[in-house]
Amino acid sequence: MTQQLNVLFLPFLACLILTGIHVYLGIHVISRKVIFVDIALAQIAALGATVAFLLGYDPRTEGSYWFSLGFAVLAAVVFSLTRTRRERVPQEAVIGITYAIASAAAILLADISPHGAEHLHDLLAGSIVWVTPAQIAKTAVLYSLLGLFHIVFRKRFLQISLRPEEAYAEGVNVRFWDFLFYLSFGVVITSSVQIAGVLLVFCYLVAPSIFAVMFFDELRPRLLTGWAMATLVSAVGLYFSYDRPSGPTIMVGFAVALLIGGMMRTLLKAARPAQALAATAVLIAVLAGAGFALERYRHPGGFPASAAPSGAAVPSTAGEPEHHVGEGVDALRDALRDTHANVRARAIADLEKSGDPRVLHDLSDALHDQDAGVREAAAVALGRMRNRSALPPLKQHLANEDEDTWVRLRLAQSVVALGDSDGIPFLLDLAASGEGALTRLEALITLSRIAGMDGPALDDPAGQAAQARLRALRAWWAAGGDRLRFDARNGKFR
Amino acid sequence: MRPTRGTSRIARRAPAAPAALANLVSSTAFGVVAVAAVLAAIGFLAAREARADSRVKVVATLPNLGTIATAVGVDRIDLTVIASGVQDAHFVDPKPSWIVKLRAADVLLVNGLDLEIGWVPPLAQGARNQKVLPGGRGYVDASTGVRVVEIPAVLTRAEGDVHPYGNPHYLGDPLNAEIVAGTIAEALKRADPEGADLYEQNRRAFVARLHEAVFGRDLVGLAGGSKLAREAAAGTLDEFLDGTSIGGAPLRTRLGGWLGKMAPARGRPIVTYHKDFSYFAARFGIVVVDYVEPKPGIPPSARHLDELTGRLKRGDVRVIVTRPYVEHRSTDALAEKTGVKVLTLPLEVGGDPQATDYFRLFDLATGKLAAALGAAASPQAPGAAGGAAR
Amino acid sequence: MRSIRIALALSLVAVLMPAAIVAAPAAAQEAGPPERREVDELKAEVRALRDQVSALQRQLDALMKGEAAAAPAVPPAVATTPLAAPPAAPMPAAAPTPPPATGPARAPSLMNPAISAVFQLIGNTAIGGREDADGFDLSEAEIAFESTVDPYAKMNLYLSFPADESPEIEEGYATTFALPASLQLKGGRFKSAFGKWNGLHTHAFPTIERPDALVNFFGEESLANDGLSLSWLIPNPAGVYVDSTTEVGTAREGTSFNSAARALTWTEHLAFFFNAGDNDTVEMGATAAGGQTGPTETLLADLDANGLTGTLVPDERLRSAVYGVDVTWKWKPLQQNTYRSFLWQTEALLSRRRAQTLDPALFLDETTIASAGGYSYLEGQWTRRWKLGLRYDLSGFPDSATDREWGAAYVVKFVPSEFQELRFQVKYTRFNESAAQRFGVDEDDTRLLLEWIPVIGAHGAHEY
Repeated sequence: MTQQLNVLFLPFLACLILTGIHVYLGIHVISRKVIFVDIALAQIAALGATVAFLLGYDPRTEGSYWFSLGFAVLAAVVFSLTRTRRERVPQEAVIGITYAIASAAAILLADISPHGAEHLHDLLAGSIVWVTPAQIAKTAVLYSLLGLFHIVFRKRFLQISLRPEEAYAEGVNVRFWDFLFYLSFGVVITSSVQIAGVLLVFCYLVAPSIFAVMFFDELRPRLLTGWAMATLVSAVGLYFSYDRPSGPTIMVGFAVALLIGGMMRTLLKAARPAQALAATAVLIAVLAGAGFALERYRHPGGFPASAAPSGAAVPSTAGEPEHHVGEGVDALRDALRDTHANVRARAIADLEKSGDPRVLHDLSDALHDQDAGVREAAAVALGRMRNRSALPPLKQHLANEDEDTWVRLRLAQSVVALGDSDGIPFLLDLAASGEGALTRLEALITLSRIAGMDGPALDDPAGQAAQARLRALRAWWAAGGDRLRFDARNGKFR
Repeated sequence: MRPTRGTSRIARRAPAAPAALANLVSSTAFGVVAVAAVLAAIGFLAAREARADSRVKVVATLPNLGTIATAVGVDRIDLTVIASGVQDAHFVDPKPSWIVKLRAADVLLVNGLDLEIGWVPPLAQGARNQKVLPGGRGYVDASTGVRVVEIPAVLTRAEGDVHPYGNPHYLGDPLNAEIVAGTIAEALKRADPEGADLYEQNRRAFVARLHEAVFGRDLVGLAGGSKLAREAAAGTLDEFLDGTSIGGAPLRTRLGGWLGKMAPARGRPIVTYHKDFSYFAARFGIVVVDYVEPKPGIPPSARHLDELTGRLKRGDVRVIVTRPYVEHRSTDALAEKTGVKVLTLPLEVGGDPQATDYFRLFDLATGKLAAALGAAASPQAPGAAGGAAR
Repeated sequence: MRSIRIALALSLVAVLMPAAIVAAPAAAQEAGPPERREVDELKAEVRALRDQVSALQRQLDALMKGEAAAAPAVPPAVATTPLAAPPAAPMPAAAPTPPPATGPARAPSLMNPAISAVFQLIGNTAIGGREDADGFDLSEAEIAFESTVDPYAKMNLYLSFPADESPEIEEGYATTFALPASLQLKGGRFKSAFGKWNGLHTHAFPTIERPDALVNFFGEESLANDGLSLSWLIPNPAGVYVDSTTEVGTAREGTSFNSAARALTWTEHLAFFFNAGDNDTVEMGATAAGGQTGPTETLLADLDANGLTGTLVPDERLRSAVYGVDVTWKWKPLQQNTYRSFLWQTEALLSRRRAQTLDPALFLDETTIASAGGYSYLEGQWTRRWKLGLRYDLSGFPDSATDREWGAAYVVKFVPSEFQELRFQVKYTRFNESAAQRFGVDEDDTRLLLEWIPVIGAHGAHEY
């Protein structure tokens, strides 16, 4: 239990920070009756991150952030420009179509990269559980500044949101203030999307505000109610999300809270309370009945059984603790310190599959392991994770000349898989004089693939074909080694 | 009444001084002390002489450990092995004469996992030598770093004489000898830092020879011995051999050495006397289906022998593996009734005149087993289930 | 009205909130894990299933069809050996808490001492001779603790619980591990290193009871000291085991050293141990023990008869010494030592003590009483679980120059496992006239004894 709480504390802090500014902005948004703008901006920020990813900037890095922000600012400009006084084309429509276009563009772009789908999923669902203290600090500072900005100019902002006619009448440059509003909006959304994902950001903006607006008319009670509701739902949602994706769980929490709020409101405002109560009771009974029916009569091939959250375990016949995929990154990281080498090696393979970028550190450390099998597994895993921040440790180890041939081979293969041509001379060296015919063959095959050289299948490293290929590769490298560029689509250098 | 406290009519005479001396000299106690003093002088001289010999004094409990220690230490060590290769390692007698050897030892090499718990503690604790006590700088537990199997989840003597820390006969898997050689090399380097380079060199040579013996020279030349060893340790050797090809054929076709010799016997069932074959069976793919002992340490009862006879008569098990120090009546009776072959394989070096070192030990074991198991398959069981393509 | 509505609303919320909270995770659960994790889980499952299938395939190929070898755990690749059957040690099935890789890590009580308990159930019936002491008797239970104190010493504690008396500490001592100059110091309460038999605990006796000589010389309990013992392993160029043990302490009881004044007793024991070939060992020892002793029974009886008790106080500090020699020969063939063995052990004791007697003139005289005794024990084993033993006893009494006792015992031992033993013994004892008169018994006594000794716990290794 305490471990749960420790793990969830940081995400909870992040939720609190999000709550603070989002509820406020959300109330504005609802008043403007342009609900869609926040999800549109969020999606555009996501589009920016996708473009950045294709250009080689991994998510959650500085470059990615600036791209997102840039796109969001651009969108902010567009939105502020399209808010016409007379509203021939409802701004909602404009925003809606912008959202659709941004989503489509993101999908198309993501298709180009092999990891695009995961990346998109990541952006949508967010990863609030993996938030780091640094991110929280940065976001908190940024939002405080923005909040200050909005407190100082609150009257103006409220005026253009709630009473635009009055603003126009006073001769206020509505467009300018609109732009400022959307700009701050855009900054907030970009930062939030980095932490929490598009859908959750949308939820934080809209759900607490709806809840508050249902019950109160004044700004202050609305703010307070919104904050309270969002905090409570965040806490409950995070608590239940220990084993599940947290973003969607919190959203479900919001949905439930809204439902309850709606029911409460109906009852409170109903003209005939008895009828309302009866109706509500019937509604609950129907929902519950449907739930039970689903549970009992679902097809066995339907939803996966919830009983086994971890992968199938071969019954351990003692002697070696079995590790299950999905057991949690923390348990796997503990396994990296096990005394048995093959347990460590297996943990490395599982960690790589988790796709969590935090494990890059652990894998780089594993390159120092005293067992060659573990080093080899680490080198392979780092290459497979397709994260270029693994390059420095890989290259350093390559330069250190590991005593095991296979480790050197894997290091070099991973370096070239990540797109760095510095691995090529090592591969050439291994192909010529690696220990063991098999390693020479593997090096040769890898080189042939990345150089785009085809030909008959090489199977004998000492044979004529292999020697010829090696000479050709050497020549290729000598000719243009310093000008090679990596093509991420097909993994070749040209 | 009569006098008095403690006086007697025959007063105790205080002997005169010279008589007292005579009494003293002639008393037995004095004699004993004198003898002791003479022995001490001899001992002192002996100790002076012993110090001149600068070899590292290694005492190994079992011959297998001793043979690996010799391979690593060669002539920089002075090795004494306590148990004999024909003895049951569980029941070695802790004769006090070994205490004398342990007193002078720099390194005590034990198998660990409580195999020698019945006889090493009285020797080590009586040796008056801090180095050979558990935790002492010369105490080397060779099971360090070895992956242990058959750790009982429930520990009770109702299951016989179980080993609480798992099956201790890990040197049945030759790849564990690599780990043990490393442990021994580290210990020798600690005890004798000047010889560190030599020990490392010898260790590498031993490990290289081991890899070649296990996988065959051909395969080691192709893929590298350490790569093969770690794939085997991780349990992925089969995938590696089947999934990688060279020269148009999978690597498995190039498998030689002991693994290659035992390939036709993979998957075959056997019966052993005691549960000391697990590591060997796991490495070479043989399946132990039953034991002559109904439980570890419990000799076979008539009923159990009847059950075993029934089991063996089915015809799939063709071999019973037994050890030189175990009784023959049960196994002979089983052989007579069912026609299975009884192989007496030594567990330790020296258990058979041919098993003079670790390599010969496995040459002998794999040779005999491959011949007995791989021979013309019985009609019911299909051929080599291990899938060694030839 | 409004308040009722509010109340109703709130109560509805109170009901719905928990229901929602409970239902939400169920709903979320059914939504299923994210695809990526699902795929990974499926992949792992497929891999494991593939391993299982190939292992099962191998088994099936090897075994006759229809043979449900109840192999519970089919292992991955080359990890462990599947077993068919014997009521196999329970293998954990998909242990939710997997057993740790190394056994010791599992024991939470790793720091606890090794504890074992043993008792002897002795049945005793006379065939002719003394009819007393018939019946069964849980003669004694013993609990032993042993553990390392620190890198320098270990401690042994043996608590004895005689059936109908109060418990006592049979032995409790600490032993150093590594003093310089091949010394070893032991301190506490311990059985004296006199000969070979004296130091044994009841459950470890070769026969059911102690030889008469030891009983007569040292009392019902063995000679034990509260004191210190210094053992010196004497170095010598031949590398032979020569050990000299010197003890000093307060003897606890025993006819030879039963001084009421708490006088010091010393013991010196020299032992030599030789290997005569691979299979034979010979041990020879010589012991001398000296201390002080009090009045003999006869004297006390005489004083009593003459009404002098209290007036004439006998000396409690009379010198007494016991000397012993022991020889042990063991034959244990290396290859078959669990199946065959042979033992021959002989000890001879000589006691010389000063004693006071009441002369007819009612003076206290002092004399020296010398008496001797000993035993010889032969044991043979021809199969793993059965042993036969034969012991001949001859004993005088330290406080009498004329009393004598002979005995012969024949014992059959059955050892089903290392932790249990059953013994059946026939013992014949014969007193000479003066002894018979003194103890007021018939001359001969033949007795049948039966003993069952189970041991539980982590019993330490026995000495050779």
